[in-house]
Amino acid sequence: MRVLFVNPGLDLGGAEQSLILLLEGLRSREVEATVAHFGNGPFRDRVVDLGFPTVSLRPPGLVRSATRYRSAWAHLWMPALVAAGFPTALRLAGLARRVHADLLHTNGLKAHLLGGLAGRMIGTPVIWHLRDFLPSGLVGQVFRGAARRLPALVLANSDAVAAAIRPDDEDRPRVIRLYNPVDLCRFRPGLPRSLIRRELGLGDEVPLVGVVAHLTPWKGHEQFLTIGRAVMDAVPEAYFVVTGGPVYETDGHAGYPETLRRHALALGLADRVAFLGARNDIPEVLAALDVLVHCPTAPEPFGRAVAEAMAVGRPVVAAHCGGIPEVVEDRETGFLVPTADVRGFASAIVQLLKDSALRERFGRAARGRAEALFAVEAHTASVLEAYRAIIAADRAGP
Amino acid sequence: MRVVHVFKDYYPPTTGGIEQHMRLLCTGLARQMDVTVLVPSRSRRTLEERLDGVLVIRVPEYGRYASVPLCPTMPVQLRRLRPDIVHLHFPNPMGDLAYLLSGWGAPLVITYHADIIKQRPFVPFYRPVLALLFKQAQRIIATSPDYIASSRVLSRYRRKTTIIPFGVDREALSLRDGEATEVEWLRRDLGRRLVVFVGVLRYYKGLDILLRAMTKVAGCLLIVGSGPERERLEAMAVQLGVANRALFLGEVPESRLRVLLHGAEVFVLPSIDRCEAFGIAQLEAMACGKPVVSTDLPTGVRFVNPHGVTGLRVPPRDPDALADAVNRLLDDPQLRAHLGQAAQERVEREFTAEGMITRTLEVYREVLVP
Repeated sequence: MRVLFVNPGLDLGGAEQSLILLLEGLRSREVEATVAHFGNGPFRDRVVDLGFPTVSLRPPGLVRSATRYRSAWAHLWMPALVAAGFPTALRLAGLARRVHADLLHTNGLKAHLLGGLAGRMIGTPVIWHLRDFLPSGLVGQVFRGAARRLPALVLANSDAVAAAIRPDDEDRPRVIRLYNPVDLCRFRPGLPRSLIRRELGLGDEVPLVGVVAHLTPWKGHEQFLTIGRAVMDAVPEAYFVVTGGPVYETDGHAGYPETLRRHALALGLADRVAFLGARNDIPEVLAALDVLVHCPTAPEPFGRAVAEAMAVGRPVVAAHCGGIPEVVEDRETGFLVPTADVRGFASAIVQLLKDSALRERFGRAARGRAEALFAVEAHTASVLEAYRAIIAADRAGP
Repeated sequence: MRVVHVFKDYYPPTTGGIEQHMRLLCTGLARQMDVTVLVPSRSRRTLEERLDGVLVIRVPEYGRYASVPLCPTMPVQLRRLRPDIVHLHFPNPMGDLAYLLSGWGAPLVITYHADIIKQRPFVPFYRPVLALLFKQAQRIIATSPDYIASSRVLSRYRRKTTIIPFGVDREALSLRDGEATEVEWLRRDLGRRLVVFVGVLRYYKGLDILLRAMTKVAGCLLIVGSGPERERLEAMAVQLGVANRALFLGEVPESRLRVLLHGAEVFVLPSIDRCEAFGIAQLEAMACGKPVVSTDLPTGVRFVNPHGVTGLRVPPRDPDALADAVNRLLDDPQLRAHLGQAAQERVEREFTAEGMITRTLEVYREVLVP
């Protein structure tokens, strides 16, 4: 079967990493994949490395740079996107024809709309792989309406995301919940703890607390630093690492890394926190940590970093929001804390830092849970099954 | 002698001004008498704990209606404690009702923190209770003469009102060993034009005005505290292009707050309406010898910071005037030092925790005289 993937993100964010893992899984199967992207960047490079044919849709700048973080633009965003996106949808439809796609698999809010329209134009079924909460207001309404009409199936990466796209009292769209996959071979227990620590000039005994997330404001890095300052009062020798680079196209937040650095200075963390930037060796970074913290200020659809830390066997202290409670089992693999509760975060972290037996117990349980929920093979098999069902239904005719 | 203080929250976990004030007052009083605090527990259980000598009893709460906690067992609890004095912190309708329903006629003292503003539509229904309560009260404590003059309710009971301003714990704000270095590092790293704000991020704090003012101030604003407005304000800082020098630090621990206050040049309280009844945060900065820029509200805000004496006052909701005042202080080290010193002296004269506790004890003694 032939599948045309559509991915708008240029960076390797959580959604793109999940898609890459799926593509890897599909390589040895009966799927011929083509990947349409929005421009050059780390995502496209990675797909090329995997040996899949890629096509750039080169959408107009307006479509590319409209991000859901610029809430002030939301009302302009929608009509402009539809107008500016229409030629792109046409191009996508032509592409799907050319590669004889049996279905379109879209990965990202913009792709859902564009791919959904394209699929409608040529009568090819579309699967939305939904890994986001919909924006509020007008944009969300448009998406919810489109979700009922455009996709044959929605794959949602958590029950929370599934519940947000389909209210209980409606039967469309069809939704299957499918947790994001994690590469359980790369992310495994037993990786050297001292590799990253040596780079930072830290001994193995230093309590190390980290966050792994792109440098976008809603990921809550500021809050992480504030929590860090509170942890320091109880564990003065604790050290903190922030891993993650700025997102590729960050209009309006260009100075964010610098803002964070100033934050650390204002909180008196200057010599206690390291900013590692974007890294390729996330498994080793996680292995160096004693606790991974995830404290987004907006609901997190899934929380890839959390799942990866669990796969490495690290305890997690995370916000009780969005899909995270499905990933972390409270008091078994980590602690869940109310979203903005700085003191709650700090005391959970301190408890873990002071109790190595607890860290170990949580870590072991976390790895077990990761193996049960996030294996790539199971993920790929579920997706294939969905493909077959959709294509069979499509061939059977309306 | 036992006094029971009644309010709707206590620190910890709540960090608002009234809660901080109660903590300071009750802890101080507890050295001289038996002090119990009666508050809702935000759960369906009764919790008891002793915090710095104060017995804190948290009674079950069955939801909140118009932000009033519903605690049916509170009157019984109050009666069971057999207090010699009941001290209500107003506004808190549940506490008012608890006192009236308990039927325990102990002398009543009320600290009148603020008028009912947000829930004003409910006031007509509540007025009979208020009338009864204020009639029964032996003594009402107001926190500033300005608030008495501008409050309809309070001005009616002027006869039995005593003014006891809030106090500040100077001990908690003085730098410990090694923290002077931290102050130096802060100023080295972030520049010597630091402006600081401390408070819960609520609509009436006027932070949007302050962010607008920052576009005209060459300096760095440190915002300490979090709250419901945080996300909106952060987005606004990005839009205004001041995100790099308006840092939302969240709730920082006391050990860091001291350093920030001592390291700053100016403290700003840009509140926009009389919901800001006093502005305790001003006192903390003044205790650290910092001049204050605040707004001309007819409440304790005005009383704490006399214009040209301990700082500057500007009209509320006026970003340009706010920016001018902050710039004036940032550009004039002599004026800054002069006002800062006067601010510190004023705190030591008028707003110490010890003074507040002594005066409260005096009130207790007076109401106990048969």
